[in-house]
Amino acid sequence: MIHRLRELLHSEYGKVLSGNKKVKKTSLSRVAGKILMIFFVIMLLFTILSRAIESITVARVEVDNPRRDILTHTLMGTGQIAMAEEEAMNILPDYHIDKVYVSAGEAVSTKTILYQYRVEDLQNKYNSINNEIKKIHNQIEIAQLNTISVDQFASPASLLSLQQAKDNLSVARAKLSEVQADYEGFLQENKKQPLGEKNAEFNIDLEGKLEAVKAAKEAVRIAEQAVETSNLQYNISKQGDTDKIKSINKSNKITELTIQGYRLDLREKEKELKNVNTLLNTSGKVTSPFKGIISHISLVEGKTTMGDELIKIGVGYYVLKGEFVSEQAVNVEIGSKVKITIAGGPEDKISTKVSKLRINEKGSPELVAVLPSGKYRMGEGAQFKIMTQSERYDQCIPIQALHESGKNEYYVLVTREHEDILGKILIATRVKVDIIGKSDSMVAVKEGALSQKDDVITDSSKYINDGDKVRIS
Amino acid sequence: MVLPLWFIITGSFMGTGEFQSNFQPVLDNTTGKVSWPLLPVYPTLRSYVELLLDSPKFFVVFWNSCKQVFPSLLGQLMIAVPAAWSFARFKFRWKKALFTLYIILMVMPYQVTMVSTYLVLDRLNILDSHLSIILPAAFSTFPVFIMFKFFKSIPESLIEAARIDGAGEWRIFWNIGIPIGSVGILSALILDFLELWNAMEQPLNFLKTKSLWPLTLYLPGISTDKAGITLVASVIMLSPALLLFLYGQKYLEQGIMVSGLNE
Repeated sequence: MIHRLRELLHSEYGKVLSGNKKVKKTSLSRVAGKILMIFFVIMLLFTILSRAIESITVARVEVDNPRRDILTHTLMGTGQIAMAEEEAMNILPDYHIDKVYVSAGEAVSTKTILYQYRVEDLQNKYNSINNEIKKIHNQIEIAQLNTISVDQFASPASLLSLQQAKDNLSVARAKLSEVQADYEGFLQENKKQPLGEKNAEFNIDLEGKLEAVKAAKEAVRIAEQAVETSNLQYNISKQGDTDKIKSINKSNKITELTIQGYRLDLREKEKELKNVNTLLNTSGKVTSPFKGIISHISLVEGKTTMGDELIKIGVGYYVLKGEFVSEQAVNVEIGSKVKITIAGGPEDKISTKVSKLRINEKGSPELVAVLPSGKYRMGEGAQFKIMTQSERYDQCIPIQALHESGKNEYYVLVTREHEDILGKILIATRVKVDIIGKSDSMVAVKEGALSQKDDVITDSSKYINDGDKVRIS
Repeated sequence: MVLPLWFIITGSFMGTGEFQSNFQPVLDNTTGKVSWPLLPVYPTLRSYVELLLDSPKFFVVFWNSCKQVFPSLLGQLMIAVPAAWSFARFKFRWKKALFTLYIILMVMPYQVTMVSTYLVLDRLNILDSHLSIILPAAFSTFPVFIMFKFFKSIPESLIEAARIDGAGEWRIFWNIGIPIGSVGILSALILDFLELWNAMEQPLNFLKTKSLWPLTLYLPGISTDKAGITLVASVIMLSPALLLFLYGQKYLEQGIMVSGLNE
């Protein structure tokens, strides 16, 4: 059956196409068909090729998010090892010296008692400072009470009066309109009547209505005067309030500054009290802070110190003296930890603390760190490294993410998603930032410009600018 | 008729400088003399290289066009061919009314059915996807009408003969209808390919995401300073349509001829 159907189909198909050019694929059609196939294959190849090229040309970037962090500042420098020959001790003024235990030429250690203040004197001093502290507290409290609050003003009451006067004026004007209308109506009504018919009663009524109009006009005049007066009063009280606010603000500012001064005094006194208390705990005995030999002592037993007395101790230990740039010495203070590397020796082998910060004879800032016991050579070169930490900042980014656009103007590049014909693409976008802290590796920026979720570009495979397409590697 | 094609092809080989010097007033929206040489003075393949190698975006939209057109044509094959056969060969209730409805839907301009189509696609939750273009196109009434004419032209005697020989309806459709109607099917598909390949309104209305846009929406987005690329993209866009037309020209001719034949 199929065979028969096929034959039938062929014959019918031939008939259908009678004309009768047989359907034969022309060469043009064949070529067009082949080119069409080739066209799609070529497009596929170019698709792959263009993607591959793009993957090479688009910059690959590394990103980091702004985070809450502490900046670590590193101060590095070089110095020389020297021998510290003498160390001086300052003596507090206005204290009675009860006993001096050492004399010049005597060897001392860090446990040796050098001299002793009179305990009664210290106790008196303690009480005196304590009283002074109490007084300062009282003064602060008084000053705080003197702070004036700005809550009472005259202008609201005056404004209320003015409003009331205006309301009265409106009422008076309404009344005047009413009586005037009544008067005019009365005249209109009696116009049509013959003259002879107007009698005494009419005259009385007319007079009455005229009086009412006059009285209403007078009431309006009085109300207008009242409004003017109230307005004047309001303006005066308003000006008064403004002057009052200025005066109060000025007074409060003075009080605030006074309180600040008291607080500074308070801190000083508290520090003094602490020192006296420490001396009281040791019964007024002062021990040597250094090991060495007393080379000079100008304390005299039984006398009250003037402040120019001095004890000098020949120490004879080694120190590292190193110059530094003051701008780089962020948060460096006496007591900061120092790592020292002696030239040719192992790195950061010696660990000690800054004992002095001073300006040397060349006028440069210099630090002095006492070296622990060991073998050193005078004049030997050494490197020092001090690492200090800042306060905690809310937004810190790696320093390599920072770009400078002008004098003290900085920006970072962040990746922002853009909807594109290729889908979501990442574009490097410039964001201006204000720097509030900087270390060797991190930068703290002012909040607002960046969010914690921003991807800040820290490194890229090639130079990128604002608006460039990027890819996170 | 030939001039626009000539402009596109010669322009695609022009450098940016030559193109801008010829078309400066048009590009700058100012007044002045515009010239177009018969052949580029300094022919270059720069625009081709830039588009084909440096613009992966272009291939995304090119394949988007393919993703929308070819499944639509496949859908038409699956739906329109049996529908046209049914209208041509079967007798059933409301046939005439249904076919009239098909004709009405066919002659309706897109703008009329746009809102209702949008609402249906929204309800089906397929807006902003390739399916929002494919689905309405697959149910297009135009190929049904074209194929109907071809299927209708198959002599009834042939069908009867097949029935007498014991062929079932499916067999008649598959072994007689499709082979004889293949010219009509091909001509309908070629015509629909041309329509879908050049469609602008549907993608513009139903596709919000740019990464789904077809070529037709990509071309206007190219800036004037890249006019050379626009012309290359135009050449590439018209190429498949032109090649398909050349390939299927005889089918279209035969289709027209057959549609005029009676039993």
